Amino acid sequence: MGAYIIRRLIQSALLIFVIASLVSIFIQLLPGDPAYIILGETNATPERVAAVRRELGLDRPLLVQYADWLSGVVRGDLGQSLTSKRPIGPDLAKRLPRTFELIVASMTLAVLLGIPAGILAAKYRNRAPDVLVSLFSVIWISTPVFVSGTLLLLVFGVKLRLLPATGYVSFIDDPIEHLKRLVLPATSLALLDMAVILRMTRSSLLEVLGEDYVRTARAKGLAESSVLFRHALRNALIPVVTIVGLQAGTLLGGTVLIEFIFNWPGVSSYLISAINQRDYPVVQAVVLVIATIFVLLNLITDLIYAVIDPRIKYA
Amino acid sequence: MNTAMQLQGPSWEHPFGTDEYGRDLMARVMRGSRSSLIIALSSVALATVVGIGFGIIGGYFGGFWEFVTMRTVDVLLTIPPILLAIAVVAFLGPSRINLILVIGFLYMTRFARLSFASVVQVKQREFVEAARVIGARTPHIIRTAILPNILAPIFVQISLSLGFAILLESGLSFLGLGTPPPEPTWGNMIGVGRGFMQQSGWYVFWPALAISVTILCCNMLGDGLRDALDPRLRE
Repeated sequence: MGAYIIRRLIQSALLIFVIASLVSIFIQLLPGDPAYIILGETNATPERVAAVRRELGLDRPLLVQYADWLSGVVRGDLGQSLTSKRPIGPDLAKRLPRTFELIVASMTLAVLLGIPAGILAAKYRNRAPDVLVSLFSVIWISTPVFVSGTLLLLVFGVKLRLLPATGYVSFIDDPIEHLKRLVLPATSLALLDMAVILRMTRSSLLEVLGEDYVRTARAKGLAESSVLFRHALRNALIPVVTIVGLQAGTLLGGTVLIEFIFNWPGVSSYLISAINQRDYPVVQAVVLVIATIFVLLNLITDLIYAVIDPRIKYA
Repeated sequence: MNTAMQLQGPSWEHPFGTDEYGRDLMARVMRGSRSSLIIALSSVALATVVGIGFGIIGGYFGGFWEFVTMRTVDVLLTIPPILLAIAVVAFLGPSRINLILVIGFLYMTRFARLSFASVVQVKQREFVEAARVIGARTPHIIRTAILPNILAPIFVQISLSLGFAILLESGLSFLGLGTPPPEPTWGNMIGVGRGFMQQSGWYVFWPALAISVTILCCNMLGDGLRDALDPRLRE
């Protein structure tokens, strides 16, 4: 087990290094010179461009720039934004918790509603609750987050005016308002996730309910609730845990669109605005940070899976 | 432009209503299917060909080639697809061909992993060995012995990937990174219609419905194909 964890840690670190390098190379290859972007069309005389390039260190060889950036990243310095001239690290640190909040809220919602709904569907297989729940899951699995986000916004934010449509209020300034504004984006993100968790819980539980030991438990006269929750559910939830972990990565991707729709000032909306302004260092930093989180989430899922399922080989 | 006809709800003349220029929404949703379907079909075709290529090279030759192909796939899988697609399209510029290339390359990973796993299994079977013994060349073995035996799961993946490709394409168009207006796509209709939600909810509703129904169909086709092609997976 220890060796397995160490091997996975080294693999993840290598992977992050490769991504960091690729992002850096890729950005260098792209057309467009940051100096022109800083100066604007009219001010960009060759002399000024050369001066700005020297100031930013862009006149140095690519390999030197890459080594410089990488050593900065290792020391926790992600560079400086071209447009705001501020260091990127603190800006990202301010936005990361907001994105995490969105992910954690929607994951909690998806698990709390998805697993019970899956149990309900499995218990009443092929009867009304199952049909309803399965219909729900089929519909939401086929609906992209930006579509469900826009539709929820239309119904609850614009037509019924039950919740504030978009925007962000800090929790410290006004906790109630903050939570009100969290409801719609978190729900939009959670729907797809919930549908996936529900489907997995249902099929996994149905499979387990057909096993011999469940029949034994019933035969010795245990109450149905005890059979379901104490005996069947425990084993049925193993694949569900993996799915929850894998979905965390999907949620991270989903925040890109959701933050855009609801004006949520997280990491992903930082990326979109940086792309629009051609702020290369910010794009580089954000892609690196998101990819790192993604790799870590996958690592954690694998480790949890190895712990709860003794059948996994660690070799 | 007919100002009296702007942002109308459904009527007999305009079954889906009209947009901000008074254009018929049903016609635009129908025309929008063109963009989504062309991009989805071409990118999945690209993904299938490149992916199977990667899988066969990695699986059949092993060793160094396995390392090159499968680690490339691993790296591509570490970044959320939408993020990578946004970054690439934003810098290369939004156009139909760029979208096809990006989406195709992103979803190549699914086909590469799938065909890699099948090839590794199939190449150990007796008939492959027999082909090698009678002196068949490698391309011939791959074409006649390997390829036909790895296709069943690929078909399932093709139909599921069509759904994912539409999802990604519409998401990018929604952000303004897809086929640019005035050419309608389902994604950019929702993106533009978002600004008119106060006046008319129908504007975003119809393209949203079109996207969901199309992805739903792709998923159902995939599930059906899986049941038909692999009886073991039947519930």
